[in-house]
Amino acid sequence: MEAEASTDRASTGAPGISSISDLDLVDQHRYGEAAAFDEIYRRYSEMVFNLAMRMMGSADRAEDVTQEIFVRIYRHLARFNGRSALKTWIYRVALNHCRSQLSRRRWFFLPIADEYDEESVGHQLVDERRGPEEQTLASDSQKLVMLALKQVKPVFREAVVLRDLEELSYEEIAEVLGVRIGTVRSRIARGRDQLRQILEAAAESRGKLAEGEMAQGKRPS
Amino acid sequence: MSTHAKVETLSAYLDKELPADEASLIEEHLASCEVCSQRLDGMRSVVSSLHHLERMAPPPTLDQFVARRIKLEGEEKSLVDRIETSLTRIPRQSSLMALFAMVIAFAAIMMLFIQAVHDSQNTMTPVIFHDPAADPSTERALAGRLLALQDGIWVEDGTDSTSAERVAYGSEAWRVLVLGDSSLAELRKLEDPVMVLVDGKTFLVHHTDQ
Repeated sequence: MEAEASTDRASTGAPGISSISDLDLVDQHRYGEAAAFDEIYRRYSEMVFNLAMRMMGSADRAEDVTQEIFVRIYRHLARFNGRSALKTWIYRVALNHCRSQLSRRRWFFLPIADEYDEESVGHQLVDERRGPEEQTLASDSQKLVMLALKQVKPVFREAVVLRDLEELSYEEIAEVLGVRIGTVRSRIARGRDQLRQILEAAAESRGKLAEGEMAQGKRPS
Repeated sequence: MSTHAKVETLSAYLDKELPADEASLIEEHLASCEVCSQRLDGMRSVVSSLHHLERMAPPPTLDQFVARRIKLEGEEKSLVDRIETSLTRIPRQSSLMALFAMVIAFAAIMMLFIQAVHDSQNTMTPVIFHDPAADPSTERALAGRLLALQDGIWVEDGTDSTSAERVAYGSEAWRVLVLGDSSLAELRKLEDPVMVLVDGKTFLVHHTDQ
């Protein structure tokens, strides 16, 4: 399954190299074959970028973080021992880096509430002070889901992203996160439930906002 | 099942991860519990929204940036390898000399590490200065290059940079800061010196008040 997915992604690679297994590519990298790392990048850059995008919440940050993740992969690839699939290992490296970046941002730039506050999150998603353009933006369902996902605690967010966006099995997620299946199950559930509450609170706030606007419109000038 | 189902159970049921006997118990409970049915529907709708999120293609600039960073890593690695190789050539009997060489090598590795950290911070913030208000002159030397102000735009080697936040300049992506008093303060928050890319070449520029 791994080899199939890898081959699909690598259709634009150099002749021959796209059919080489991940493990053989790692071996070639150990012997200093530069094309091997290029091929690994080609196979996994889209996966890493999208994971970073969901974890960091913006394309700009995802681009920066993806660069840093591939530098890490390059540094440590020779020590990859093949006990797990390369894809699993790359997910692990990527998530570890996203976590460290998120904790750094939390300290310097973006405090993320420790306790989930349904009301305040709903207002962050639909804020009366926002201009009409921003309201339109937030009403776009994809952006709304992205915004809501950003509000979910990172430890639950990563489980939800791996399950519902990357479509990994519970066993694969347990391997990536280095936790037991029971913990995976609990994190996915709590992440989904937080997301559900955030989206419902946002829908409610938007409903109240619309009601207020209608009431104002009806009022005689 | 007299009480409501746990969120974990509903979520695992949604993923068909419950054992058959537990799944039929939940189905039985759902048939008679409106609260849990609604909660399950909400969760199902969340999962469906996530499945509909589109995957994005990485930006085209990513390949270049990664290639450049990997090239730098490779150069540093080969230098470290050369130092390690030269250390192995030192005769074993000359332990004092070996110790001295190890100290030198350690210092060199530390310097490379500090440089790498410094570079990685700077490469994330390519910046070009654009300060038409603060300097009335139409020319400015920037890290040894001469930029000329023409119609409010700094021009160098026939290529101009506009005041857009990010513009393509040759093969590089630029973050252009239009400097007024407030944005100058923003710039000062960046590590000094700031990395500036001019015509594909890299310069380090120190902040000044002029």
